[in-house]
Amino acid sequence: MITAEDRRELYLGAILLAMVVGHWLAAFYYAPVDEHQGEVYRIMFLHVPSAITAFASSAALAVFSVLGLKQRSEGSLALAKATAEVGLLFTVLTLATGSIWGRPTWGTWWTWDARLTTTFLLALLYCGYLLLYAAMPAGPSRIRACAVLGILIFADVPIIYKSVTWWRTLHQPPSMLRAGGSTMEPEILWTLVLGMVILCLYGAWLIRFRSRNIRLADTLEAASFDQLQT
Amino acid sequence: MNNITGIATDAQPFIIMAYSLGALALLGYAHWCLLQRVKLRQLVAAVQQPHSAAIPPI
Repeated sequence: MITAEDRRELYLGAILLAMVVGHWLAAFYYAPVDEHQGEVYRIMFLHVPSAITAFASSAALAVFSVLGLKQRSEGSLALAKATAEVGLLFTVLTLATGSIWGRPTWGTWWTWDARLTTTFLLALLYCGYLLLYAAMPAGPSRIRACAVLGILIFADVPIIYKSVTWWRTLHQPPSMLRAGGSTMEPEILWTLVLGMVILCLYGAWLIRFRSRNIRLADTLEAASFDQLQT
Repeated sequence: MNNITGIATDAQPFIIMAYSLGALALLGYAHWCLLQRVKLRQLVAAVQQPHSAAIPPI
């Protein structure tokens, strides 16, 4: 049973998914081979946009948390919870694709490098948020506790970004936002930027879609409670 | 070894592994949300009908 509104949402999701596929084709056929890394660098067209979407999710989580604190509404909390789920999805995808790229490039699947460790911490923080949400009963105290943790999670993102300059790491330093501009070939740079925009849009769609499910579940719970009382 | 771009490389298994995982994550989560939406719509409709057959009154 799907409403017309659900159908419109699904059409939008299908369009965004087609754009993701289009970007992947550009990553394989449009972007040239990297002169140092060879073909394996093509994993970056998935890894970097996933990381940017994970970081953007944490920024959105902080915004929804502040809204939740101000408005004390379950609507903001539903959006925040959906954002934490999507953020976790993209953080895990970032870690997994980075690990797959690391095996042929660094010779190891995993190392406790500062960038990797702080990103792993982000995944744990998202898990912590979801556990906190699940463990507390609905109400103002859950909205407040989740909002505080949601804001704290965002504090990890600048640490992840600066980790490659603050500590000696295996991970390469920033290659896009660097003094003197990026040294990447324009085709590679624009394919990467396009991927970031498309994956962020898809992430935003997932957040909206999932948050409406959470609101529906809340409606169901309220309706069931009303029926029990009649 | 020919890869999907037509260029010989030893990196092909890693590229396929990464993009397969990406497709699984992006499609899998959306599919799970869709199934959940269908189920929730059915349950909300059933509960909103008073004393419906789906959820008998207690």
